[in-house]
Amino acid sequence: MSSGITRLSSVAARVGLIAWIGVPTVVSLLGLLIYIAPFHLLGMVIPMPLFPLMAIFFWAMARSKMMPPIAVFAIGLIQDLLTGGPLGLWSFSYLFAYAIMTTQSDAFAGRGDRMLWAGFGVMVVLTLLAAAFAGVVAMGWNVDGVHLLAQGVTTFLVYPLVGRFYGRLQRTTQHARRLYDFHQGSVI
Amino acid sequence: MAKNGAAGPFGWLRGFGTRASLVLLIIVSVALLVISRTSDEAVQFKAARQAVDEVASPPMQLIEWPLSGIRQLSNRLSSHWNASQRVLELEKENRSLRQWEALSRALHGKILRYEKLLNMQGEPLVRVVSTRLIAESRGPFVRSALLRVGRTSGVAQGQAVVDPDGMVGRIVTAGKHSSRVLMLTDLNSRVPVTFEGNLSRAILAGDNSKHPKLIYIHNGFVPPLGTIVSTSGDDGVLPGGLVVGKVIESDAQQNIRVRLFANLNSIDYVQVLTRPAIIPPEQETEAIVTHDHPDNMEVDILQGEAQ
Repeated sequence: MSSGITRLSSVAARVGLIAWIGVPTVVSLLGLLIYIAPFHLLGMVIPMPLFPLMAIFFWAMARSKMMPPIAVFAIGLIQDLLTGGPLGLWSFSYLFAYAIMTTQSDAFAGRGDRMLWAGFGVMVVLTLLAAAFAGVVAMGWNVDGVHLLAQGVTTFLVYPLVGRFYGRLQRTTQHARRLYDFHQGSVI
Repeated sequence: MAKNGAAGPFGWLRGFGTRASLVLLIIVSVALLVISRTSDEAVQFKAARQAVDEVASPPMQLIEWPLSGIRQLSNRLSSHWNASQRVLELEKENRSLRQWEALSRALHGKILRYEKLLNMQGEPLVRVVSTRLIAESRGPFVRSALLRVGRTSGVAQGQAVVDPDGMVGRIVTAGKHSSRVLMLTDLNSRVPVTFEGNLSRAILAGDNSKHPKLIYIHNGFVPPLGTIVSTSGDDGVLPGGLVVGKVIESDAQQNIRVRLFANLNSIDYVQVLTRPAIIPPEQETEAIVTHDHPDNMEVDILQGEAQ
């Protein structure tokens, strides 16, 4: 009986751990679905912020283990598939910016919200430069630069709001994980 | 010290593994980009795109539902903005359309009589499937949208997508319950068109700008400003005569641009024009060659002549 409970508790702890690790990817994919939702006001197209980029940046700064390169690649690839664009475009752009930002995380993380926001601004610029380059490689000089710029501005402006939500989500999942760890420790 | 001891002699491998996977994935992404550039990527990854569209379709319907309400509210607000002026414009347009309706009815009757006299085998019947956009891509690179109808509703690759104002695009991939429409403004969009009052042919090519351009214009024809452009149906997939837009920029250097009648910025509901595929003669089996057999048609024509 006791070993049955221990095994069940161990499985629950593992499920909790997987859920904890999977949260950033799931949140990124949900952001991707919102990104492609048809949204226009008064007959005008509103450039949708790059929600997946916000999630990638947040977890790359907060806990890079929860946002490994393979997850960044998968998010970019799914964005390419869902938007019908050239394959590899967004996965390359996200990975390029991610590679630079993770090496410079000490300059932005843990130095206050404003510094983090500035770091996100750098991430947006790097991503859009990489996307423009990849777009030219894949499609020639037919990239809508104005739209790209507008998308970058909306993404940058919206980040503080979305980042706060991600922070709350991260604290909740962290708490859940601690509970699982505690539970596992107490049973064993 | 203790930390180093905990990491062990192979502790550096963990960081190395992450860096190596990062470099490898960047190389894979670049390789995918190059493949997209050099070959017909749509064929190679079509199945993957269809699968992702199918998976994303149900959650997109949930997300799109509240957004549709906001959109309708915004449309209602914008239509109320200048209501009295709009009513006057619509009344004027209505009077003009009534005249056109009478004329088109008379011409339609005449065409039907001519077709009967000539025993004309007309265009196959077109069935209309109405649906709503559940996702769209209006980013800097692509102009496409996702529809929540697929092969089960008779939707197939190449079919035309229209809204009440004119043609919007064509189906590029059709899954079981979802399909993707490539907008006329997309870089990869190519549609054979013709001109009002002239039989010249051209290709309407998107270039990710608001107004697609006309290329490969037959006989060097330069359409005057305001010429109506419609589909020619030369590709054997799109029906002919679908209104597309009108010429707004035209010069002798063949820089000709078309303003689309459909407002791609505020599309909500669209219609897919489905029709049975035309089977090439070499693929026809004897079993299906019954009524339209060439011998039968010859008899019909002879009978028509005798009468």
